[in-house]
Amino acid sequence: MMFESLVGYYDYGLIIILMVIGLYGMVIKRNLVKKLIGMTIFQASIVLFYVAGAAKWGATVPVYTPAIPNENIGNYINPLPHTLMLTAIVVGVATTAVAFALLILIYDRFQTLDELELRKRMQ
Amino acid sequence: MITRNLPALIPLLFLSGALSVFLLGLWRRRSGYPATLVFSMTGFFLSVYGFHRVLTRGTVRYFFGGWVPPVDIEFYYDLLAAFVLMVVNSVSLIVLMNARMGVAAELEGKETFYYTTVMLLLCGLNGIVLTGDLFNLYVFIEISSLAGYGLIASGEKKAPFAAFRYLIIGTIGASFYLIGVGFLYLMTGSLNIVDLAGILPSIPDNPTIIVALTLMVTEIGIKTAIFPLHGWLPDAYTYAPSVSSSLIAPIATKVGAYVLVRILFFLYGLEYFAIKLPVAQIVVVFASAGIIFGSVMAIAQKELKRMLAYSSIAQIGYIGLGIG
Repeated sequence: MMFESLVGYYDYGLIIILMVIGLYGMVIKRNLVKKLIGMTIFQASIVLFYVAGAAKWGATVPVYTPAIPNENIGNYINPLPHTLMLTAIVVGVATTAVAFALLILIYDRFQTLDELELRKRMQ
Repeated sequence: MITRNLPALIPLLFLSGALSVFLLGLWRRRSGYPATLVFSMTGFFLSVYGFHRVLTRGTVRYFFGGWVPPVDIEFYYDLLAAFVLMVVNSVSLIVLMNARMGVAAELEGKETFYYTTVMLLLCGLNGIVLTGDLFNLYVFIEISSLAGYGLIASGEKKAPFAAFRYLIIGTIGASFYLIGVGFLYLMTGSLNIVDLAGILPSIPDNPTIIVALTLMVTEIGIKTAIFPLHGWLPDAYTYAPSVSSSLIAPIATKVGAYVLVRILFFLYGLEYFAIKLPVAQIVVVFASAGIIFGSVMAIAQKELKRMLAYSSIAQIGYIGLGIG
């Protein structure tokens, strides 16, 4: 039972692995750019989580055609999670842009992006 | 016309304010500040008028595009929202009235961009207070946070690093919130707070719903800086320009407390978080620890701004104690 549910939800397992890689990058890595890359991976895993949650076998795109009866809603995929993730991706891009602007400022002022070195120079 | 569309008008006012302050500031550098003041004052009067209207006529539910739940985006303008909105707009107006000298002294030549970011921050905060849709709430949280990072980073030499730490922590928090919303959506198929509050009692003791609550409270804890999640706050407030600190400290974290009230009382309801789950007890324990920690650390500081930062952690503890 345990094994079956693990195999049946393998996509979520992969998403969790991606999430952990992102968290590892943010917490362990000393370089600020690598922290930022970890953050981006973490956000990508959430996008995949929504898309995986909306996946459905034997359904089609949510555009109505007379050939496919819409009495049975199961014939169509729910488009809302994908739409939400479009917004989330845009927000993620904006966050990354602000973060890179901050990194440029930090590098201009301290000539390093290594966290420990940065703390030493800030003293 | 104005009264019917009042809930949507207030955030849109600040959004258009951001655009016009930017363009006016490019045209004449000195015109940025008066324009900011005009927009802030208009927002204040609109929110006072809205408070009066909600007080006399009752709750306003504004549906964008005329769609009804669960497919709509809704602005939910009840008495609590109207009151918090009035507080946010009046405090920001008072701060902006006194901002001119401070901004001119600390940010010579960058006033236009500064006031544009202030307008964006106010747009995000007003949106957080008004929205009745969980995903829309996430978008507004990110708008106000991004503006907040900008306002903090414009400070002295060490400010960008403090803002970067805040950005990483804040984005993890927002991502947690997004996962929580995803769990709720996959379980119920709705994102509307009023609609969800009706659905949730029909699926009691569901572990997914409980995990969603945990994730969302964690995010709000980070944004509100409740005690163990306050790590970003002292540095950010210390190195930010004084106008930014005085703008973000009183309203941004308190709007977070408002979101906590919304999610605990309006979305999950008293039974969920007080009787079935020890959420209220946990908030009380951490809030009490935060009061003691914040006060002790504030006494130990030599720098005035850092002392105020730790004191505001203690103040947030009092708010958490009240909610718990």
